[in-house]
Amino acid sequence: MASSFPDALRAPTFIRRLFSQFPLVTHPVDPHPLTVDDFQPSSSSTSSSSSSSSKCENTLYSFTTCADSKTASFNPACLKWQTYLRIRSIPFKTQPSNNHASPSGALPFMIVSPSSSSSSSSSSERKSQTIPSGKLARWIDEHATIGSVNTVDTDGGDYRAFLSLVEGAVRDAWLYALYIDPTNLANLTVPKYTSTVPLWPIPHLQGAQMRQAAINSIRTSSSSSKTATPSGTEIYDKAAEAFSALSTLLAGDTWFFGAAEAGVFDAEVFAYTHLLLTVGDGMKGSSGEGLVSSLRGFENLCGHEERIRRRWFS
Amino acid sequence: MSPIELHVWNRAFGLPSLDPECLAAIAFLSSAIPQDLWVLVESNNSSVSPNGSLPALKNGSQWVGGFDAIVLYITSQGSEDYDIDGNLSQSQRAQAVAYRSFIRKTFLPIVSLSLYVTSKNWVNVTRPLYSTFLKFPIQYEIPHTHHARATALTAHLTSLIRDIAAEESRPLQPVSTAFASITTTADKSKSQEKETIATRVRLRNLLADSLDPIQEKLARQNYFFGGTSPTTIDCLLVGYLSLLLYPDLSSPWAKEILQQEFSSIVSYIDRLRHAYLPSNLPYKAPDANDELTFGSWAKRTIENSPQSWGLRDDIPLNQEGYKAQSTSFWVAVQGIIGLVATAGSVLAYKALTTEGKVDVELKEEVAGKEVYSTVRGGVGDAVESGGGGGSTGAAEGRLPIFRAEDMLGI
Repeated sequence: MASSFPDALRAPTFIRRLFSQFPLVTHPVDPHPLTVDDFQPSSSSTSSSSSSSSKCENTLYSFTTCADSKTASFNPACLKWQTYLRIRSIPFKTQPSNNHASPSGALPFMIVSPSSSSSSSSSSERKSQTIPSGKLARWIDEHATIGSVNTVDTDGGDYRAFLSLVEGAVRDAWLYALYIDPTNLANLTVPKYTSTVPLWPIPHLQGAQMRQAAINSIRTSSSSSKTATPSGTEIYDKAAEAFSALSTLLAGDTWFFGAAEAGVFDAEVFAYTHLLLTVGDGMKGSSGEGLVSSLRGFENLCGHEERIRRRWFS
Repeated sequence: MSPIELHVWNRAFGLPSLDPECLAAIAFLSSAIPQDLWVLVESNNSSVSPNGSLPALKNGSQWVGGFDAIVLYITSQGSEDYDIDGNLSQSQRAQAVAYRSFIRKTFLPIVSLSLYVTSKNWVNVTRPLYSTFLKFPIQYEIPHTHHARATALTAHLTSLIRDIAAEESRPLQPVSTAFASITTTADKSKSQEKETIATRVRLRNLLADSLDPIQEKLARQNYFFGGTSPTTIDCLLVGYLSLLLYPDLSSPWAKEILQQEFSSIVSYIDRLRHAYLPSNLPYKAPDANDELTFGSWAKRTIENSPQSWGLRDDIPLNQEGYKAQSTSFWVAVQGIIGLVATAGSVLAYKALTTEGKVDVELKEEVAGKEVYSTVRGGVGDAVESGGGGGSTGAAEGRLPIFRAEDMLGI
């Protein structure tokens, strides 16, 4: 080959001599990255019905402490979806994670392996899918093995009004109690969210960041127009009012809106009531104590929390 | 007893106020208590309110801030006639709490989008409106804050805002070049039209998303919860929706969509407006203490500056906390200024009391040129070196005498 080159293009002799000192090795071609199919050839070749029941291929990435799906997450948004997945009896495992892992920047998100979905016949659907939290509701409706008995109209006015109450007043109070109250931030929130980074200044800085994010979130939550300055007491009062309204809505029913089975709204309420009731003892002496005690005053809300906890988290 | 004063933002667009919550409070008062018991005060001064926002109610020396608090106060104050939610059942009261939050959450961004963030409306209508009732330096600060808040509230609608802005800027394009008639082909204008329709559809969906539940609930009833008299929810609805329906704007998308597709809501709002936001409301000039003057405005701006500059960003447990926050900030600033002043005066004192140094100018002639070099030294040094006589070497070691030869490299 070298002979076909004109002399001017040939490498100088000393370089050729130098390079000839080293053997030229052709490495074998790297295989393609392993897909789930290569990794578990049995599940795709044999009938998938037996394997999907025995293994959990769905992973919910959330703020949690262990991989057991029965251990409740300590973040309301994650706990809501975890609860709803449990309610619809979809097998999954949880994976402790953080925001940086998520494609959308927010937890939870779910990675679904192909063999668990029943309609994995076409090859395009055989890749693992990532489902952000915004699309989880639809995915669950499409993939739940049993249809939900909960037939609450999620576009109805009342449903959306009460949902905005939970997402507004109750969420603001949760943020205020856990992130803005300095003692709770230091004692409850920071240790939980930064358990993986014990290096001294980092948890402290992350705590300050989370606090700032909570402040901004409360500022823009539109409980007030123009430039009103909310105060902690007002936020707690609003939350107590919201709990009272929710309690009236639930009345003596087992589930919200008189449904036959728990639904997304129950999961949403549970996410806050469960977390408030479990961290309640840790909030002694802080400003959030009044919030928890006002929640304890509504027996039917506590009963609702207990029903879900007993049935799906024990 | 003097009548209760309701402090609100200025009238605008043929409505008694430009703020939805103020309109709601006006509607509430005119439906709840007799006309002669209250007056409207256009103080435009949000610092009178205990929670820093209008509407605010003044009863004698007592202040109540915010729509919810006003409702609570009036209801607890008088006889049962004042409680316009009194006829509601327990579950309807719970719904009222929920719908309050729903109306604010969905309609506040839409009102902000229509009046403040749609740039054509802001530039042509809303921004000039503020100048009509605010005096010189204040008319630059307050609309700016309101606009900033509206932008923050509509942050989730960014792509829609961009579409509206693109649609608005289009008619200007052909003017810019002489070749406009050549470049704008029929094909292009058709695609533009398509985009305009797409934007309109998205705006319609945004409105329908929040209006459908309301329309469904109203369903041929006179009021939100039926019955024969309005409730607080009706007051809030008329507050928010009249700001979408009545202003004459340059980009009147909200008005057009409402009139085209939600005629039942339009007639409902019309009815409520005539009954509870009449044009003959009793007005009163603000008291001297509550007036928005340059002094009171400057005081509030300075008090709030730690928060508005982001130096102190916190939500304290109660409203006193905000005051304490800015007080502590200014105390800290005073402390720093005091420390700097003390340190400065100590240094100045030292500099003035130590022996004065004299500048010695050396003039030498090197290679036919005059070279000046300046040497600074204490007076005592010169005396010592002069007194030492022979020990010039030692004096040279002490004084950093600069030799002209060294400088020239000779």
